[in-house]
Amino acid sequence: MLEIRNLTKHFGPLKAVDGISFRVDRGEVLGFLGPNGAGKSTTMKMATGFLTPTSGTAVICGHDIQEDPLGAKRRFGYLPEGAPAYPDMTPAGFLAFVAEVRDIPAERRAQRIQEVVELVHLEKVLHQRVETLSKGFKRRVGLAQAILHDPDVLILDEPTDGLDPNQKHEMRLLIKHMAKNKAIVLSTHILEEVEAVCTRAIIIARGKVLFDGTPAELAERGPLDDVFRRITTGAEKALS
Amino acid sequence: MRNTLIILKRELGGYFATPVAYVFIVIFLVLSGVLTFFLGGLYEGEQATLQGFFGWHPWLYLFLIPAISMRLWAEERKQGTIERCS
Repeated sequence: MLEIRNLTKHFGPLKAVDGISFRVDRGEVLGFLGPNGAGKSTTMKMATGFLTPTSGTAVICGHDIQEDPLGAKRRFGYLPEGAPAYPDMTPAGFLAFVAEVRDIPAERRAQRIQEVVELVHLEKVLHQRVETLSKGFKRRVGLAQAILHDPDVLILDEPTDGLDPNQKHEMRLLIKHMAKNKAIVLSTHILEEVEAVCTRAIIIARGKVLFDGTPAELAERGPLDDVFRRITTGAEKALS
Repeated sequence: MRNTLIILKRELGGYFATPVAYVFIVIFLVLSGVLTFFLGGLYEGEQATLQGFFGWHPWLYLFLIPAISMRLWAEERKQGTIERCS
């Protein structure tokens, strides 16, 4: 459902992403791992059409993000890094705005917003301005915005970053709950998260894919922290 | 085009969510009055013309429009909400 084809991005002399390819199918939760600066966010930004790749492309449900950006963008939900939302709006106003932009029919809008709000537990802060919300609530507003139009593909950039353990747990349950009929890609640098929610893990560093397999395969090689360090520092040739 | 209107609505709403819109409305009214009567000389001209009123408008817009609109791109980029719009 989501296919990344040989994505490459150069920022001047720096190769931020260097020929990454993978595909994610329905029911899969792909954990996108890597140290800071490995190119995780850049890859996601290219997959969602925010950055133009130097070469390569991403195909979402058969729509090429380069050739048919509008068609592709309708089919995924994206939670950008830091879950940005307009600080002067309330979650209710923001979700209404997103629902309109996402072209949800007017008669179904209120009901759909209601469903999503219940799903991510935003009821308490619905009429409070976004700038006054805690990180956890902001993150949930971001997630609500991403799943509002019930997309087949979800791209989440560090969905649990900055949340407390309870909120992390809740976010993971939510992702698992949605995983059955969606293709989900999430980036993280928390290793336990991969074991907790992902069905597949990809480790990248310096813009290249260094590992692609199940979390179980990763765990076989020893303690996660050590394996991660060996792979990303280049001490182990890990491509499987 | 449809989305342009939705975004326009959001941005205009944004001005009224904070006092920005009201502050600028007051500044606009005060300045247009001052310019018309003190500098434009509406009465002194002794003619039935609004030249003194409209003549100053380009200058008002020249300063007021950039003052409220130039933050739009910058703010969107700073907050990261521009990624939503992509």
